[in-house]
Amino acid sequence: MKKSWHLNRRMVLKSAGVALALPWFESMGAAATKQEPETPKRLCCVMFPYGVALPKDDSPDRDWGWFPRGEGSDYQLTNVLKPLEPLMEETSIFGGLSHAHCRTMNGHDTGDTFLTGNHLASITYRNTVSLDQYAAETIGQQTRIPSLTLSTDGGVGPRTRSTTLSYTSKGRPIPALSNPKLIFQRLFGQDNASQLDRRRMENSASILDLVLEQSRSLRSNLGLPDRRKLDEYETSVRDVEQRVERSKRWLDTPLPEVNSDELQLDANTDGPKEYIRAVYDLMFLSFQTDLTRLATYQIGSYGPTLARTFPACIGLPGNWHGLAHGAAKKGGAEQIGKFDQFLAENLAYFLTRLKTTEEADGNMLDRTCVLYGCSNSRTHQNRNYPLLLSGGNKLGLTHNQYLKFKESTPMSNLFVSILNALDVPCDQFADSTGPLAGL
Amino acid sequence: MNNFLVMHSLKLTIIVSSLCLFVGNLVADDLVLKQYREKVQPVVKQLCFKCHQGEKAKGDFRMDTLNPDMVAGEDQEAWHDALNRFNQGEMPPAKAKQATTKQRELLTAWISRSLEAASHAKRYTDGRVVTRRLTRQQYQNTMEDLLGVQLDFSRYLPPDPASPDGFLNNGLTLEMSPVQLETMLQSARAGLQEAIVSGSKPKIYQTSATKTAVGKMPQLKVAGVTQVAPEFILDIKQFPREGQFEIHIQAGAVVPAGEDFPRLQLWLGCLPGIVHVPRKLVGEVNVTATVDQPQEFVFTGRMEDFPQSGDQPFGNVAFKGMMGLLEFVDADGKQLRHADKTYAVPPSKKKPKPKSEPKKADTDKNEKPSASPEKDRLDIIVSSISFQSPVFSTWPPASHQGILFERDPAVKDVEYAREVIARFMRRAYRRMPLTGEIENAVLLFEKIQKSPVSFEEAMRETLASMLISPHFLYLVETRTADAADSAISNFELASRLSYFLWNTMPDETLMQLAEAGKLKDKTIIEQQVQRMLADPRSVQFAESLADQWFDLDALNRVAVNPEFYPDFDNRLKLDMQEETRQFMLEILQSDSSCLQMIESDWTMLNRPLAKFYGITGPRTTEFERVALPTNLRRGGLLGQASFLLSNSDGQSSHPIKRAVWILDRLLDTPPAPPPPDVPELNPEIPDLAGLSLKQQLVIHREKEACYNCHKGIDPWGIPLEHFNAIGQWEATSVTTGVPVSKKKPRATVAVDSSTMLPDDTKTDGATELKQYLLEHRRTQFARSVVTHVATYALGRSLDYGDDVHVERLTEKFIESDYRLSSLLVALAQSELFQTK
Repeated sequence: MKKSWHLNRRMVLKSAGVALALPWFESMGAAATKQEPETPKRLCCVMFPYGVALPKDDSPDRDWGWFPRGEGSDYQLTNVLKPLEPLMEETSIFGGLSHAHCRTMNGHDTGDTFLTGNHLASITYRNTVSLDQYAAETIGQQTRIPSLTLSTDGGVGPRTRSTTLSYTSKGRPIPALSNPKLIFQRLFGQDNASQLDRRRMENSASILDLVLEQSRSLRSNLGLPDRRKLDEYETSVRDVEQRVERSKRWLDTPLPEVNSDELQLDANTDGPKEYIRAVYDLMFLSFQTDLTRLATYQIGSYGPTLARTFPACIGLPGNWHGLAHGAAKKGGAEQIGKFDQFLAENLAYFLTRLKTTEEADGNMLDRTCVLYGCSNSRTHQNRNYPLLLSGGNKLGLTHNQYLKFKESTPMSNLFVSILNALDVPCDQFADSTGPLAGL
Repeated sequence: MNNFLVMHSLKLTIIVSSLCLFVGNLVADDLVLKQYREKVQPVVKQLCFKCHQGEKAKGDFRMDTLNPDMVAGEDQEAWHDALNRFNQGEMPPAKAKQATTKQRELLTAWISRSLEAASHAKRYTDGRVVTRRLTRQQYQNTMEDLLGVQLDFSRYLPPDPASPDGFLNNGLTLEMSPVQLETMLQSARAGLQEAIVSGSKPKIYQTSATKTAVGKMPQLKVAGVTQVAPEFILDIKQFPREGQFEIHIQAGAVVPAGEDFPRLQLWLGCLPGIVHVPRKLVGEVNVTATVDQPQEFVFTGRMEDFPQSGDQPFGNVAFKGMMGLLEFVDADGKQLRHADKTYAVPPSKKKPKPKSEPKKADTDKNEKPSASPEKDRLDIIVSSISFQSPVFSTWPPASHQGILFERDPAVKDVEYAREVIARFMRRAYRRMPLTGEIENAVLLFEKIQKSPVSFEEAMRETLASMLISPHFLYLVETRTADAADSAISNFELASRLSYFLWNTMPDETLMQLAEAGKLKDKTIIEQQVQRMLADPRSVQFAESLADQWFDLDALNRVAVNPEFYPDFDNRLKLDMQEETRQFMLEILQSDSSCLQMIESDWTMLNRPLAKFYGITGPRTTEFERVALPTNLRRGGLLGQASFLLSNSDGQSSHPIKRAVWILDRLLDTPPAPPPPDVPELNPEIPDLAGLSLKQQLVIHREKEACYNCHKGIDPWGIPLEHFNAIGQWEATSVTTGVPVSKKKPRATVAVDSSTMLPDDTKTDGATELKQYLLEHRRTQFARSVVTHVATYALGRSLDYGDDVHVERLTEKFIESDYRLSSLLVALAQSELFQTK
């Protein structure tokens, strides 16, 4: 029997064509929360590869450069970020920031470190925790799914050309999901309420215990590098055990009902616009239903990626990498600039959905931080990342500005500011020297 | 000339000595350090020390304290940085004394080779990984074979990463994560649910027809909705929501003389409303039989994979259940339409009626569809179609009986369970199970049975535990007490062979030979390899090897620019990939020379690709061997569009990418990756547009930072310049991709495919290049084949310790006239394959 206040509060939100029941506070479940829960704070990080056009101020191509003209509150957007104009009250753009450790790395290696700030010498490959997973230690515990990792290509990809932005506290890559249908399935597909599933969940604990024991006794018969492989396995088993535990707590909470009719779940990389939007829609829905509060999304990758063909699909010549390389050629800034504008339009679509959805005393964007950018300025250059941060106006962040920094300011300072805004305790992240001034 | 020799010998010694690092301790070889002290350091001193020495070094960068031992030391990145600045001409600064060409070559060669050695050494510091996780494909195949059901087990698994040498089955790069493990537990349960049944035989739904159903389809013009007008509709009113289905179609074709065979497409979908028809392709076949003697085609799939109608039909739509939709297309893929024929979808009333009076068509309804096919026009005649789901030839199904074998009623539950567990475990773990392992599983079974579940459900859950066990998910090769004994066991050998040549678990024959301890016998191995290659499962070997070795996936990463190639159909990329796969399969199955990978007088083509190449012959989309008697342009891998297109940039040919592919994949001497912050071709140089790519490359090479590497790379790609970006032959001129003016968007230049290879051999064109490779690089190519095949076979990168085996195998391979099957037998018999 459901309590009556459950029913009273049940409502159907209809926004941008997606109907769904259950706003976040109900999907939290009555059992999981005794006191009135606070409004969720969220983080979404999006990265694209290869860099942008950086024409000089006096260049005729200046309007296809990524960065605005001017500085501080007196700035003018170029064509590229024009789609964000209506969202500038909620947005800050940053110039000059980069991860100091990563400046000497190969230009194509820095996708792996966009959210970690770690020096990834190609001979060791060791990475460290990413921003979203750092936040997941605190924020991730409050939702059914701790965090969502997405990318165009899926999986982890080859090291130094990875297809994921998220790294565990041990620095291991977290495989990304890529297919909208599968993401939907993972988010809204499994309802563990049936009797069979309930019993199987009980069995899972015993099954996982058994295989963990098998792995442990296998260790003694293996060499050192093989044991490291078993470490991965055992960590995974333990993690799944915890998930099972967590799922049990959610057993009596129904999954939010989401109508998938208006979602373009069949979108694939042949239609970049539909595809990118579908992924943004899914992130939006997972936030709105409070299935998770953390998401990363890597559009393309620095390595072999399906996204290389994206510009051609919207009528631009050549592949993405080639366009980025040609940014300094005659007419090149306009080509890559048009594609960067296309990416910005899609970001604006996502931000607008957040902004136009009411939540608590304002809208969803008020407490959602969206970090967006690239770890190259012009292609292969690991400095002066094109970066912007949207949202979080009710988390104490100041916006509507273009802040320029000297190279001595680590980009990880921005991470510290974001974590602080989200109430995640953090004194230092990677090489940070404090919060970012002016935000 | 003298200069070149010095350079070359220096490189050689460094390469040789750096290789030693793989097995030695983590200290650079003495020779490398000696070279530093005697040759390199004096140059560094002269060029850099003036500023970068002592406490007050400029930029806080000291060259005098840098540790030249890049393997043991900590200064690799500082060296790397120095190399980059030097290469880019940033250092020494313009005002300071510059390096001579000789010094430049010495420095860049020494630093980059040392860095490479360091990176290799680090990678192998801890020895080899021998325990490898099943790849996504191996997992899929193994689950299918083990459970006897065909489900998409790997659908929810993330793709596997490629190793540095391009292979997907490398134990070191194959990782495990919670997402994967969780997914595999779900897949295990789904598979066992399907394999082990409870209760009585479910209802089987069947429908059949000899002529099309007729009904309206949505005709609204809505953006983003493709209108569906099938030739033939099978109305499937009742159907199960889940399970395997089979659709049988009998059809023949009318093919006028001189025309090629038409194709039949089967789609499955439904009609949820008035706007669109959600549907998915089940399959496409070439119809080559005549109408009098039709062929039978069998299509299979799973109901849950196709769009299904809801429980409540929407309004008054013509089809309330599911629909099998047939479409006929000609050899070029264009829909076949004949104005006077009856179609499944009646014409819209709003439109003016076609001249051929559709009323009359209605009266034709009762006639047999094959009544009077016009003899002179291309058409397909379907004589019958039937649908069935689920599909069971027996009950319980074979998968069930394979696991829960017939039971003696006198045997107690737990005794029977123990036997089921033992038999299943032997297959799942690919070895004899230990008593303790069986007992632990029995304990789990008893624990699960305490809650009120059926015997079958308890069994499913118990067996699921084995399907996420490390013994199942990994190819485990344990160590014996004797550390020096690195030989693998008979069962481990069975798995190695089976995953190598079939990409799936060993079959009963291999298991029994392993159990009898006979598998290591050289004659038996040879017999087994031959048997395995004759088995259809070996197609997986040829395909996976071709895909990964030649990086055929790269086809999907190149976008063909429609401005340059407006007629290019992206579906051709699949045919291009298939050509190369089939080519390798043909070399394997015809047991002929691998030198044909360099040059051959035949290739594998289907109609679309043959047409693309301008070759006549194949009449269907099926691939067949096509002789190239007069013009060898398409001979060997270098003539195949898969290689040519995937190593272009989608608008112009790309000699550098093609060259790197030849060096890396064909000759196994990959050039060093480009340094960070690669400078672009300087756009300031006037009129690049008027230059051929070859000339642009000359300018590129003239930059000293680029010269050192590119002089050894570019010449390999230039002979292929007659092939444009999509792999078509351009006899005289190519577009450069560089805009000249508004009126003339792209410059056209004459093709120039002549070049000087790094050993000063003059070459012009693809045929001469292939000739050169056959004459001068034969052994190197043979070694490369051995290396690539062995890397794939072993699931790890080869290291210095493997060189002696590779040499031995290469000799044998050459002696056997470069036959792939001989190499596979020799490899399977080798110490390399049979040790950890």
